[in-house]
Amino acid sequence: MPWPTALPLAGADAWSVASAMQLSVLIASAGFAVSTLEDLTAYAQFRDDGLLSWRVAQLRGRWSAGGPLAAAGDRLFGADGYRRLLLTGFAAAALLLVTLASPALLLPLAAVILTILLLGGVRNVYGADGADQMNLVLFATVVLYLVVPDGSFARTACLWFLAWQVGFGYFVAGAAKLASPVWRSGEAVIGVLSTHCYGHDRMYQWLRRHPRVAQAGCWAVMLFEVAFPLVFVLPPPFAAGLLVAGVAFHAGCAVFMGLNNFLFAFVATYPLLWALVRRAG
Amino acid sequence: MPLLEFAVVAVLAVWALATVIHHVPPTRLPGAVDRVVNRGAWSWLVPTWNFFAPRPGVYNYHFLYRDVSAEGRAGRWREIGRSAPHAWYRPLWNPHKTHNKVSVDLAMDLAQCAAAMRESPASSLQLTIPYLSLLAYVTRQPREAPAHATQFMVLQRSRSEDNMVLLSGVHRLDHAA
Repeated sequence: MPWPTALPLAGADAWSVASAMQLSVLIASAGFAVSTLEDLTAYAQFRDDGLLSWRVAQLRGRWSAGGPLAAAGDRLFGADGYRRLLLTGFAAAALLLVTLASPALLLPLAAVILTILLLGGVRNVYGADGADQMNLVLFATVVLYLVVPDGSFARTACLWFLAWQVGFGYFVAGAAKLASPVWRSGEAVIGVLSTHCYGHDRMYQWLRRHPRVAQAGCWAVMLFEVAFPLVFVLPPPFAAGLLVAGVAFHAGCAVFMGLNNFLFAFVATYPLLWALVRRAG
Repeated sequence: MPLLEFAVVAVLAVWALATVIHHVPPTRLPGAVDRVVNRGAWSWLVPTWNFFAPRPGVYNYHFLYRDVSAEGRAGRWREIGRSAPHAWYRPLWNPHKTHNKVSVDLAMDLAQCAAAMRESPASSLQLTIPYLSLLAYVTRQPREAPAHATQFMVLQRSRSEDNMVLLSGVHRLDHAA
């Protein structure tokens, strides 16, 4: 059975790195657009009377608490300034989506999103999650890839860095779970789903009545995660199977835990991983 | 290799190395390496990939506050920042996600600070970022008149147990309601 070899994004070129990068950026941009809109909708937390007030966060560093850069910090990260940053990030992501990650705009818009991610990391003491980290890795890789010459070792290094971070990330996540008695017994997923933050009451109640299913689910997650780096060495059908399993895993996390941003951020890396797998093959 | 390419490769190599180091138990690292990679000003750039493991988060955290009158009478405890029930569209649109994560991160950071400063004067904890963040948040809440001072509490709850993470000091309000 012939594998999909063409993507109608970069002309007639079959699954090139350029095509994969466009698709990866599109997926990540969609997720970033949703996340920034969510934060703009729930903006009260970033105001001076919210848990992520800049008035408190600025006390962490000398540069922000006083001195010549403090005023600039206030303008950039204060209640109005940070809203402008989020709007700028949303606009960049929206433009990437509307133009289907046009190669002419890819570098500047990806650089804008990367900048917003970095500034958000500087400003916000709390609230960042794995999806934010993966977005940072992805957009940094894309920007660095696009600033170095075509065919250079540095470009190859960018792609393999991203691949390594994704593979290492999944493996570490799975290994940490395998080392945990709570995960091996299945209690972990029941406990997490019992919380308000990442929980789902109906699934929690159902898994309480079916602990063996919970245990099987935990083992499926652990084995998938530690096996993920095999995507680089398995024959294409099996590598594709791992990626499909990844999509299903993150979709499940979105449905039962509300982690919609993880679905976009991690699945966004898959097109580039696939391009690398095919190139290496 | 031209300078730009070298710089890019160097950045990626350092980033990858920091990621590996970050996942080594801190007790196994030289102190200087642990300080730079795990606790330095830019340590937030180093990804943490072991989500929910080895100890998954199984607790809900609740922030409560009460006002104290000038005569020293304490009012009732009231909860703040309680998230709305989950909507059916949460898999696609979840604006409460950040607030939920912030609440958990802040409560856990506060618990760690409190544990680390158990032998220190109370004022040391009161100058930490998590304490100040929560204090600032509490002081902006609606007040029960007349409110001379306020106090907050962080509760950690699971389906089977309740723990008090922290009971704050009593902090005078700027303007008595």
